[in-house]
Amino acid sequence: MPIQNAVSIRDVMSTDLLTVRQEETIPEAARRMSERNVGAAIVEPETRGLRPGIIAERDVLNCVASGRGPEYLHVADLFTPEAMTIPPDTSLEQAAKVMTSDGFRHLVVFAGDKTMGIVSIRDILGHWSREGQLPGLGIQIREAMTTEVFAVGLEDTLREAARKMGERGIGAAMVEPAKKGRPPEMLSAREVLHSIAAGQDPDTERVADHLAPRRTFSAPDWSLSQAAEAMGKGGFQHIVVVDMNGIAGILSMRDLIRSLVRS
Amino acid sequence: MNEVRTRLARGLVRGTVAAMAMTGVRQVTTGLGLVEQTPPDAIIKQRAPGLLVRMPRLAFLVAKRQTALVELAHWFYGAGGGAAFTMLPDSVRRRSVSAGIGYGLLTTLVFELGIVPILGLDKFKKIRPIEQLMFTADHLLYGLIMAEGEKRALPEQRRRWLR
Repeated sequence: MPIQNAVSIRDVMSTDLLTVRQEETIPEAARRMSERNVGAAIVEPETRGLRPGIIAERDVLNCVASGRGPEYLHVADLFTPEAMTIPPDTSLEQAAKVMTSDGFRHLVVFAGDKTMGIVSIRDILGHWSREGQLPGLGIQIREAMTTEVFAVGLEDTLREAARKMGERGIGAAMVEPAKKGRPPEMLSAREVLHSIAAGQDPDTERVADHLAPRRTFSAPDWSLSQAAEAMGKGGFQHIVVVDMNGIAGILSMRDLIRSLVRS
Repeated sequence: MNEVRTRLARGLVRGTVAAMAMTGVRQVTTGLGLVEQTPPDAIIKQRAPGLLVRMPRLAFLVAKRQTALVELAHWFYGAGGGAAFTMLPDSVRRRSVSAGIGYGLLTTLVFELGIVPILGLDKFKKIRPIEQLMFTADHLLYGLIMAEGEKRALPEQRRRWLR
C-alpha cells in the first residue's frame, strides 16, 4: 500500500484555528465560518483542560432542516461537546480510518490539555494527492460512489431542501438543471451555511439562488486515484458521476477516503 | 499538388475505414474476454479525470458520451495514420502484404513506445500477453487494409512498372 505512515497529522493539520464561543448566535458563527470558508469551528470548553467541542456546517444544515430559526439559536444549542480528538503523532491513515468508521469530516488534534489544530478529510486527501501517494490506481469510481442520489428542486426553499437532505443524512443534493441537457447543479451544506451567514431567511430563499459555484463530473469507470487527485488539487467536495443515461451516482470525499483506506 | 491532396484525402478515408474495422475486431476480442480494455478506452478512463475534472462542462460531455468519443478519437487517429501511409514511396505502397504488416507493426510500436509512456498508461494496468497479441493483430489488419487499398489505387501502368 503506497500510503506512507511516516507522515503524521502534525504535518497536515491546520493550526490557524477558528474558535467560536458558545454564546454566539448561529448566524454569527456561520458568518465567521463562511468568511474563512471552513466547514467546522472549534468551540472552547467552559472548563479549561477539557476536550474542546466542534460545530460543523452539517450542524447548521440540521438546524435549518429542523424548522427552527437559526437567529434564535446559539452555538451552545447545536455544537458537539467533547469532539473526537486525536494526538498529533497519529498517522494519516489512522486518522482517515477514524473519520470513515465514525463518520467525521473533521478531527480535533489535542495533546495534553491543549488544542493543537484541526484536520479535515480534505487536508489528508490533499496531502496524499500532492505527494503522489494515492493508492487505488486500478479502482474505478463506480466501486466507491454512492448510487442513491437525491435531488431537490430549483424552486424549493432552502428550508425544504435542508429538511429533505437532513432526513436522508446527506450533505449534498443534486438539482435538476433549468434547461434539459445541461449539466446538473448541486446544493451542499456549504451553500446553506453561506445563506445563514448572510442573515437570509431559509423559508424564502430559493435553491436556484444558492447553487454550488463549482462542481464537476466523471464517468463511473474512470480511475479513482485520478478523481482523488482532481478533488485534492481542484478543491471539489463531490464529483457527480454521469453516464449516457444521466446521473449514475455521486462520489464524496468521504466515499473516496473510505475506498482508498480499504484498498 | 493535386495528386498529393487526392492521396491524402484517400488516406484519410481509408484510414478511418480501417480503424472502423479494428473497432469491429475489438468488439469481438473484448466480448470474448481476450481484451479487458482497449487502448483508446484506457486513455480516456485513466487519464481523463485528471485532465477533465477541472473543466466541468467538458468532463460532463466526455463522461456522458464516452463510448462514442473513444471510438471517434480512435478513428481520427486511424485517419491520420492513413494519410501518413499515402505519403510513403510507391515502391513501398505497391507491396500490399509486406507493407501492410510493416505499417501495422509500426503503428503498434508508435503506440507502445510513444503514447503509452508519454501518457503513463503503463502505471495503471499491466497489459496481458494475450491482450498485446490481440492489439498487434488488429493493427496488422489496419495496415493490411491500408496497403491493399493503396495498391489498388495506384495507376495500372505504375503498378506494372513497379512490379
